[in-house]
Amino acid sequence: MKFDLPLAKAPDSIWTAIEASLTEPRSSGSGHPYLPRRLPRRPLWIAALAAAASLATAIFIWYRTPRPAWEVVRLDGSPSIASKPMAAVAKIGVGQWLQTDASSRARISVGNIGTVEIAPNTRVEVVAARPDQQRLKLARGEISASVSAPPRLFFVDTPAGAAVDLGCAYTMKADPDGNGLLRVTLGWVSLEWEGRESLVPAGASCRTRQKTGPGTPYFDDASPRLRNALADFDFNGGGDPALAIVLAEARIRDTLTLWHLLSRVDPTAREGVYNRMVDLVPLPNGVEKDRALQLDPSTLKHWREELAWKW
Amino acid sequence: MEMVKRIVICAAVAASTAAGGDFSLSIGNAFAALVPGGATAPVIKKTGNQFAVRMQNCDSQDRVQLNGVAEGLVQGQRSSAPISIDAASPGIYVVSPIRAQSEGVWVVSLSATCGSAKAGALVPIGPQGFLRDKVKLLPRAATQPEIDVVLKALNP
Repeated sequence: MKFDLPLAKAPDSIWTAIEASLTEPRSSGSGHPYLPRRLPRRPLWIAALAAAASLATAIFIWYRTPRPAWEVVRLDGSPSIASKPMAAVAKIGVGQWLQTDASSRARISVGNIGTVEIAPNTRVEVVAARPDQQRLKLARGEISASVSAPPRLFFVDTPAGAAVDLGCAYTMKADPDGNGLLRVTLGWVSLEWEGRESLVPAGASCRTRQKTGPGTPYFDDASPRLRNALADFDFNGGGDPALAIVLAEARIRDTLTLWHLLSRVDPTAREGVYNRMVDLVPLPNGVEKDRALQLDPSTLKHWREELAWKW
Repeated sequence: MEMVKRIVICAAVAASTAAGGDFSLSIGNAFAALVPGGATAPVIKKTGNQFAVRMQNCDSQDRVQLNGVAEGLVQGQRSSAPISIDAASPGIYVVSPIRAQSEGVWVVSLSATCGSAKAGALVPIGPQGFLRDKVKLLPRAATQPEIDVVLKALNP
């Protein structure tokens, strides 16, 4: 059954009330419940002025805020910062380069965690100077770093690896092609590049090569035959013949080198490296042969920590 | 009789275990006390003839005590000097001379206890650091005659 509702005209008082509510000022809690609250009108220029003032204040604060910068002391000759000769004491900021010539040297204070001496014919850039990361780039030349800080706070980038401070003192050389040599005199340094890591303790060195990254660490008193064969293995495709020389020449403390080689030789050669290591230093408690040959990370870590007492 | 023999053997084993018969010291380079990538005793930064000491087979590290002194022979005269012993992690220490012993020959005499167990070591010091192949590990603190013998061997 269908019902047609009769049409009825709205009384005029309704429309009058609506018009009145559109024009009267609104106050909190008052006004028509179905109409949105109207914002008071302000001239547009006041808003623009407020925005400009905020921006100017922000720029002023940014400009006046001291930038992190490291102190540099001139040791010899005339080093330059940002291509300008530096005074006896100067500052170097992020993005700036320090360069020495054949007769100049400088010393950078890296925040309050250590110092870096810049040798002659060296070019370095400050990459980061933050509380959680202090970073230098070595384009060429030689630096000597002495750092007293929690590990992984100070980094030196080269074209073929980043030296990661683990609590140490070391020298780092790099040529313009990116080939380099890290030599550690205190503590440990990790040399890292594209997933490859070499852990280098005091008394040991590690070469780097462009496009290859860090080589295998070796103690500085290892035999010249071992060191030459290792360089062949790392950088010249020396393969099994070079490896055989390294194994034959290895002493107890050269298990540093052999430990790194475990993960760098072909799987078919790995057991030979393992056997030589065990000949030199009996396998410690907690290290199982199968897990070591499978390169189990926790097994290798424990083995390295035990071997370190023999290095 | 066999039963008596077994009881005596068991008692002897128990006694030696209680006395910490296997407790000993291990000596290594200072970097052996620092674990790369590990957390994180602050790095102990001293120069010179530092070395690391590890307590082996001590069943409770809070019962460990380690002491030592540097003993030297300088121009024919015996001399002693203090050393610094810093804990790197439980049971592992870094030993450093307080001042460089640049003259004469020197050996660090260490003595350690783990409860009632004792161990000792004589660690000769050379120009490049401790002389690993001349380290003597002992089941107790070294005696003065033992120290004298080591010093004389370093001073031909």
